[in-house]
Amino acid sequence: MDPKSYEALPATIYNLGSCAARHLDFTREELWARMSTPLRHKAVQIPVFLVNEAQMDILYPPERQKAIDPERANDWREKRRNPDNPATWQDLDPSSSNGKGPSPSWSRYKRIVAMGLYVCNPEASSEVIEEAKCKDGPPPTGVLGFSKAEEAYKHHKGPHIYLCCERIVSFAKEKGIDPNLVLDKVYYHELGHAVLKGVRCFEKPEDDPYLETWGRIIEESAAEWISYVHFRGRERLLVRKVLMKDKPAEYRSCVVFHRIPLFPLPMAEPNGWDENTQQGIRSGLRKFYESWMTQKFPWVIPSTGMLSLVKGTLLEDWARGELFYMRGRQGWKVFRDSIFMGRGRWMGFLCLPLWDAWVAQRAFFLFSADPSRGAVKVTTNPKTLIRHRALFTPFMASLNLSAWRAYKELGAPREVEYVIPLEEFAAALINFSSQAYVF
Amino acid sequence: MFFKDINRSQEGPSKTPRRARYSDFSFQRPKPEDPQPTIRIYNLGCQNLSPFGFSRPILWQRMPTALREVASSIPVFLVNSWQMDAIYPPSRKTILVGKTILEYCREVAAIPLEVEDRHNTPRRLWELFSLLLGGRDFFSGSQWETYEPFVAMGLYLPKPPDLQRILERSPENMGTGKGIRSQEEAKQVLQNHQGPVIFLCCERIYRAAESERMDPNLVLDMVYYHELGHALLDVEESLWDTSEDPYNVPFGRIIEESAANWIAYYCFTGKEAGLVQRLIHRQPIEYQGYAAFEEAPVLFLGKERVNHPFWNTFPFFYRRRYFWLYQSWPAIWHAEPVISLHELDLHWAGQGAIHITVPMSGPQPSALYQTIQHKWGLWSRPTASPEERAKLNMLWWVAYKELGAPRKEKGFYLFPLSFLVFAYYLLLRGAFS
Repeated sequence: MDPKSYEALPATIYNLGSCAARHLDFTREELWARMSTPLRHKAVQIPVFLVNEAQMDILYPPERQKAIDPERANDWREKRRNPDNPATWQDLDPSSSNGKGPSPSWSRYKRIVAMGLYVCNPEASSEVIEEAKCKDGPPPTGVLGFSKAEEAYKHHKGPHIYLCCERIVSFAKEKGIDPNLVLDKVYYHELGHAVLKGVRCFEKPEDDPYLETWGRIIEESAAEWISYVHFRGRERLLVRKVLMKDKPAEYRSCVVFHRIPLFPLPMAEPNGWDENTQQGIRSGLRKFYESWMTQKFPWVIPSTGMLSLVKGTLLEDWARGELFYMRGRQGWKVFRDSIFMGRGRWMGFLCLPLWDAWVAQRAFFLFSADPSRGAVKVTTNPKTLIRHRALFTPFMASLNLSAWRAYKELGAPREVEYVIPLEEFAAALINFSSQAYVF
Repeated sequence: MFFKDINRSQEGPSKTPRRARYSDFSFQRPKPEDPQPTIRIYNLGCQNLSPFGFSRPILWQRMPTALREVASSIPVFLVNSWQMDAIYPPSRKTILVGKTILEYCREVAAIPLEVEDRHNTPRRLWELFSLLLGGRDFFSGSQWETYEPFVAMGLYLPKPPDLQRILERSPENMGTGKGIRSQEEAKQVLQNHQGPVIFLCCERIYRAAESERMDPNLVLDMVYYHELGHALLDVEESLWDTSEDPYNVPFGRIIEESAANWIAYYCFTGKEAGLVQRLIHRQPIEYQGYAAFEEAPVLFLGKERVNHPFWNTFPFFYRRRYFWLYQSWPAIWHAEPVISLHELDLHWAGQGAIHITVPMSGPQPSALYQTIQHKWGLWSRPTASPEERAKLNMLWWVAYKELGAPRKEKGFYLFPLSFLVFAYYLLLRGAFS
């Protein structure tokens, strides 16, 4: 074997007909070094096909050709503040009712959104092969050529990732940045969808929560968050300021994905909530998220409307303000049982700030000058508050990701006990990202 | 961990076997100024050694401290595939059948916890554990052929094999290379050597590299580190090929191979790590838990506790708690800062080893706890890096083998339960992520 032929890459990458692929370099160390172990584990498993614009337009499923205009999201947030006339998903995403067709704003966002595509169970189409260009040109180093690509495209079972090199290169050129950075961002985003996929693909396509507006918001912001956190420093800033700025609202909402909790599901037995309870929980969740974001310290006491949501868990004690009466090892046992036993195990992550507070309180109590003082004022220093909030971010995001994945693994049931917390979470993502001044 | 005792044997055999210590599993990344370990490589039957470089500094520069110590005490023999087939133990020419075992896992995972809680379906889980623990039902020899090129590239043996079986399969013209000693020297060493040995099959390594279009040296390094990992995980009174050998039951094989693969994977970074992951992806299901090996801790149950009346009366308590913990582990592994296990009396704690507080946290330790610890000097170490978690898991696995890998204690499967559930976790994470 000639030493020059050791050109294998961790992932199997095929050029299915893209001329712009020659501008991209898959052998760069940083493309693979940035990835975390689970992401690379996915990259090893899933073949990547490089396609041109025409091929991508054929491949992109029409029911996924949706985009929410950030302007509209802004109006929607304002409208939603009116409790008498609550804004619906239809107002946010007018195409959501006709299901199949693309959004009106799709043509505007196509070249940004349809740079990459992850398909769980693809079906080969001959049109895609016919649209292939630059078949005879040498593929980039490590990338397999057209004949092998055609073979793999037709016969490879399991998920595929498609990357549209033409769009990646033209977008980078327009923005004046390195096309390889755009490539990495898009590739990580698609791998993020792969990580978020449950054990199996949805057998019936209509089960996929992606087809619901709220499902698309959660899925896309989660995948975007996964790709975003793999960059550091200057690259992260470029990704945020240049790549994410022009994207639709559901992608931009990743900037708050790690800041608000998704209530794990289900919160109650299915079909256990009547109409009044549902309304109470909706408004309770709305207020919860509002105060979660607006309060200085991110520990919010659930309102009375949410009592049926937190019944039988530690959060009920929290709502009643009795949590900090737990003392000594008994306190730990109550906490442990309430997060590991029964339904309460799902609540563990919401109790986490409490657990932090509890540990901090005990620690402070032990070492403070005046131990007779029972309650502890944790801090009011704004710098410390910001730091604490930043410290919560990694686990908040990972728990949101797990909860979303777990919901999909259950088969994405559509009972209100599942859907209401998800809808409110998605609405909160849109609300808070549209008022975030990070772009 | 008995490779250190090879030097000690000059003083005469010691009566008490050496127990593994936490410090044996030191996974410090090497520094450039660290001394080079003396790796002894002998050629027993490879004809073409030209694609391989055994004197490349990167071969030992990647090794963490623990592997360097093992590498300098264990000789390496290069063999051809014919010789490898002859010395490969027939009992190990099997693989776990992913399809059967995963069907079971899926059924178990699909049971809602509330249902399990009411004791309606613990039988299913129990059945799975019994199979992971006891049977050879999940092993298949017929599929060995498929995976052989990616599994039988290297072999670790605690004792040298029959020299004659190797020599009669050696070719006439042998390959030579820089830093490789001849067959004559190999014969002498194998005749006198009593300790463990490592065999590498250069032909298969080259073929695997060729089929994956990789640098053969990268595959060689990965296989070598993997076998060194097995050496690190072996114990002084080796259970190899005894009836107690946990390798011959599914849960033992999953943990052993995942741990060895974690060790190999840990040595690489960046694109090379990705290529190693690609190689691992070609291996059978028991090798796939390498990434999960550092994610979660083995919750070890002390030996004393096994015979404790409380645990014998309520074995369900432990089973349920463990099972829940691992099932929701990806979701809670950031959420629980610390579980102190000093109540559980780890069996070696009395032997002056260490005081352990099991650290449980996410991949990046919560800076809040670091702050609390730093400012207020809390007594426990609240967080740990993935390496530290993996080190503890390895220590517990070795300690279990040092106790003779007991599987039954007074009719209960309590003692290996923690390893069973851990293996179940590795299996699920390896298969479904």
